[in-house]
Amino acid sequence: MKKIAFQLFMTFSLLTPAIAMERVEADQLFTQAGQAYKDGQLNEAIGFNEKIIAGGFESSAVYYNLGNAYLKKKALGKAIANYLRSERMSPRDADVRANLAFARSNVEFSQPFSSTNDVEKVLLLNQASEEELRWMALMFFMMAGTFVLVGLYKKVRTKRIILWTVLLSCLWIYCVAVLMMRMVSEDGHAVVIKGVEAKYEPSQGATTYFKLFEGAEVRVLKREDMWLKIERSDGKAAWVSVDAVEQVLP
Amino acid sequence: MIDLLRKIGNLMDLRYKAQCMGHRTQNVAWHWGKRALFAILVSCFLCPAYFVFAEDVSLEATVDSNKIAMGTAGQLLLTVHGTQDVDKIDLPPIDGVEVRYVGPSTQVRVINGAYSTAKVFTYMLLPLKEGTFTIPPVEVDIKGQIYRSEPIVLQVLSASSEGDGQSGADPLSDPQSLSDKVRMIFSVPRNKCFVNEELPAVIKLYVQDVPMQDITLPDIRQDGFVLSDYVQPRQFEETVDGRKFHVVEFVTRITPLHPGKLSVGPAVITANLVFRTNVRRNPFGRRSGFNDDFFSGIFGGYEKKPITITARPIELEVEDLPQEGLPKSFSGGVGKFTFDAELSPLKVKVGDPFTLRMVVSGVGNLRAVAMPVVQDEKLKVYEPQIKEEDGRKILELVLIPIKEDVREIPAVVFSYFDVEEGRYQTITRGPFPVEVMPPEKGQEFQAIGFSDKGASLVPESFGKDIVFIKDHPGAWQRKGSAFARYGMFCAVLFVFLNGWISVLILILHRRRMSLDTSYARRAAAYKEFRSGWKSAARWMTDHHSREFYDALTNILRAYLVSKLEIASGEIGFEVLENALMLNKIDIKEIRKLEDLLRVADQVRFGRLSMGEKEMRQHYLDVEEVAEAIERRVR
Repeated sequence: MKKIAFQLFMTFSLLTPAIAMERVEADQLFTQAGQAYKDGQLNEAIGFNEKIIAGGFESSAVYYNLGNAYLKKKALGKAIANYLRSERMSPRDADVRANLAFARSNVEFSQPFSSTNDVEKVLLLNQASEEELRWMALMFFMMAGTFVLVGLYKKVRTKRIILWTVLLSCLWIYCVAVLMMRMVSEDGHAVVIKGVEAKYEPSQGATTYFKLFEGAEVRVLKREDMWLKIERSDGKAAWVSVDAVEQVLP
Repeated sequence: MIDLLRKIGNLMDLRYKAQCMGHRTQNVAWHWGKRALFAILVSCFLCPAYFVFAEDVSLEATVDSNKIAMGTAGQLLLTVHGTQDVDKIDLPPIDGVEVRYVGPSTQVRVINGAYSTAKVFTYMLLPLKEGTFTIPPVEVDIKGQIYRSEPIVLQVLSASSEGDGQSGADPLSDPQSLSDKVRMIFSVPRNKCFVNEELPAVIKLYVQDVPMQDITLPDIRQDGFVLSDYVQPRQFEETVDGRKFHVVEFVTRITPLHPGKLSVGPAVITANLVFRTNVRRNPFGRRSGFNDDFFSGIFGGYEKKPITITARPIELEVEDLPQEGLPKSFSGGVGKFTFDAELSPLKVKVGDPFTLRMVVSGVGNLRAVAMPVVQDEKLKVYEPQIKEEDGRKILELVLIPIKEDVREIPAVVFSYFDVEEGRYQTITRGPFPVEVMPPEKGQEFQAIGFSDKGASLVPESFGKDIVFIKDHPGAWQRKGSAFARYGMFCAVLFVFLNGWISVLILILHRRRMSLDTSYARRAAAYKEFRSGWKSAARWMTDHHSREFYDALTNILRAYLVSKLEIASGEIGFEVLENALMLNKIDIKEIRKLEDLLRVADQVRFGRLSMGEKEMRQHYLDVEEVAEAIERRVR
C-alpha cells in the first residue's frame, strides 16, 4: 500500500511541473494570438492558436477565437468546424452559439445535423458538456453506492433508502446513456472546407451526385484510400476527396 | 320483400292490440321494446339476403392442378358467384379426359361485413391418355343471361410421374411440385424511367394449397436505387391459368439514382412451410402398432421447413434529366406535381405577421422536393414549418413586414421535371398584393414599467456580424493524452471504489462478528494474545522465570483454545497436536511448542531456574508459533 502511494506521489510530482510549464506557454500563445487578431494579422492569430492545439492543449476559447479568425479570412468551413469544437466544450456559451449561427447562415443550402436529441432535453442535459456529463454520471454513481452502504450498515431496508438508491441509479444510467448517444452522434461529424462535387464512386471520373458547398455539415461514414464516403442530413450519401472535409473530432 | 315486411307489421299490431285489451295499460313499454327487437332481428336476417340478391353474378372454373398423372384423378370446380339459384351444369365432352360429376355445395362468406354467396359444382377428372388437353369454356344460362368461364389447359403425364403435383407430407421433398404451387413475380409499371423518378414496385407471392408461415418482407438487391418502406401487405385471391392462388402483395417504391441500364432485384422472400408429420419414425425399421392412423393422428405434429422464394430481377433503362430547359428554380422534383400558394391575411400593420402557405402535391419523389424560398429586405422571414401528409408537402412561412412601404409579397416559383411530358414545368404563384399599415398612435409596443413613450413596435434593425474574440483561455484541457484528460476522473473513481469496497468489507465483518460467535472468538484471539505476550516481557526483564512461564503458558493456552476452538477442559498436548496437524501447521512449529510447554512445566512445577537468554528465546518462540498459526488458521 505504501509502495503504491509512493508511486502515485512520484508520478504526480513529476508530471505537475511539466504540465504547469506548458500551461504558462499556452497562456502566452493565447495572449499573442489575441493581440495578432486585434492587429488584423489573421494568419499569425491562426498560427498561434494552432500551435497551442498542436502543443496538446485545448479550450473552448481557443477554438472560438480560431473560428473567428477563419471566418474573418472567409474560410467558412474551418470556422464552422472550430465553432462546433468550441460548442462541444461549452454548450451554454451564447457567443459561440451566436457566431456558429452566423457562420451557418452564410452557407448555401445549409442543413446542419441536429446536435441534440429529445432524450437529452428531458433534464436539460443538452446544456451540459461531455466532461460535465461524465462527472454528473460519476456523482450519481457515488451517491447511489453510498446509499447502498448506508442501507447495509443500518441493516434496515427502509423504503426511503431503496427509493433514493433506485432514483440515483436511474439518474446515473440516464447520464451514461446520454453520454453514449452524444459520442455516437458526434462520431464522424465533419464540415466541408472547400466546395466540392460529391461522386457516386470514389474516383474523379465518377458521376457527380450533388454539390457540396463550403461550410456544409456532413457525416463521414467510411474511408477508402483518399476518399471519404459522406452523408448529408437528408440521408443522401456520396464520395468526396479527403482534403475537402475536416472532421470536428479528428 | 316489402309485402313480407308489411305482413309481419300487421301481425305484430294484432298481437299488440289483443294483449292491450287483456292487460289494459300494463306492460306497454315492454311490448314496444319487444316489437323494436323483433324489427331489428328481421332487419338483420333480411338485409344480408337483400344484398345477396344484389350481388354480381359470375362463373369461374378452376382445377386443383394443371398436371395430372395417368391413373390419378384431378378435380374441377365450377363456381357460380352471386346466386344459389343454379341447377347442375353439364360439361361438354373433353378429349382425353373423362368427367364425372361429384355434386354441388354452397358457400356463404362474410368478410369485413361484406356478404357473399356462391354455389360450387365439383367434377372428377379421370385422364384417359397422355397429352395436353383443353377444358373448353363452360356456358350457363342464369335467368336468361349467359355466363361463360375461361378455358383451362390440362397436361396429362405418364403414370411414372404420379408423384408430381401430389405434395405429400413434406412439400420440400418435391421441388417441382413446390415451384408449381409457390411462385413470386416482381414487376414495375414500365421499364423506362428518369433519374430520381419514383416507380411503384409490386412483388406478388402466389401460393396454392401450401400452408406457409413467418413470411418476411421481400429483400431486393438495389444497387443504384433507393428503396422506400413497404406499405401494409395486401392479401387476396387470384385465378391464374384456371388455378386459384392465395396472393400476398407487397408494394414499395424504387428510385434510380443514376442513368444507364440498371438492374433491380432479384427479390427474395424467406418463409416457413408448415406440414403435418402424421407418420412417426420407427427406430426399429418396421411397422409397429403405434404407426396406424389413429396413433399417428394423435401423436403426429407439425413441422416447419424454411424456404426461399426468388423473383427475377428487372432491367430498367434509366435516362438522365435533360439539361435543356433546366429552370433555375428546379430543386430535384421528378414526377407529376401541382403547386399552390396562398397568403393570409392580406392587410396587416407593421410588425404583424403574414402567413404564406405553399402546398406541393402529386406523384413523385416528394421527399426530395425543396420548397421555394422567399427573400425580401423589407420582410423578416422566419424559419419555415415543413410537414408531409397524405402525399402532400406543406410549407408554412411567417413573414413580418418591417417597413410600411411593402406593397406585395414576391412571387414563389416551383419547378419540377414532368415525367409524363418529358420536360420541365414551372408553376408561379403570386406576387401577392398586400397592404401594410403603420401602427396606430398609442398602440405601439411598450415595455411595462418604462416611461419611454418613444418606443414603438417598428422592429429595430441590427447589424449582423460575429461576436468578438475571448480574452481569457478558460479551463485548459489536455488534448490527446487519455491520462491527462481522464486522470482526475479515474483517480476519483478509483478512490471511491476502494473506499466503497473497504467499507463494504468492514460492514460485512462487523455483521459476522455480531452473528457468528466462533468467528468473533477466533478474530479476537490474536489481539488478546499480543497484549498478554507484551505484558509477559515485564517478568522476563525482572528475572522472575516462574511468573514469566506462568504468563506465557496462560496466554498461549487462551489463544489456542479460542483459535483452534478446543474445549478448555480438553487441552493437553495430544489434543493440541491433533488440532495443529489438522490445520496443517508446520511440524517444526509443533515441536517448538512441545519443547516450550515442557520447559514451562519444568520451571513452574520442578522449580527449575532459567536464565534471561533462554527466557528471551522462548519469548520469541511463542510469537513465532502464534504467527505460524495465524497464517494458517483464519
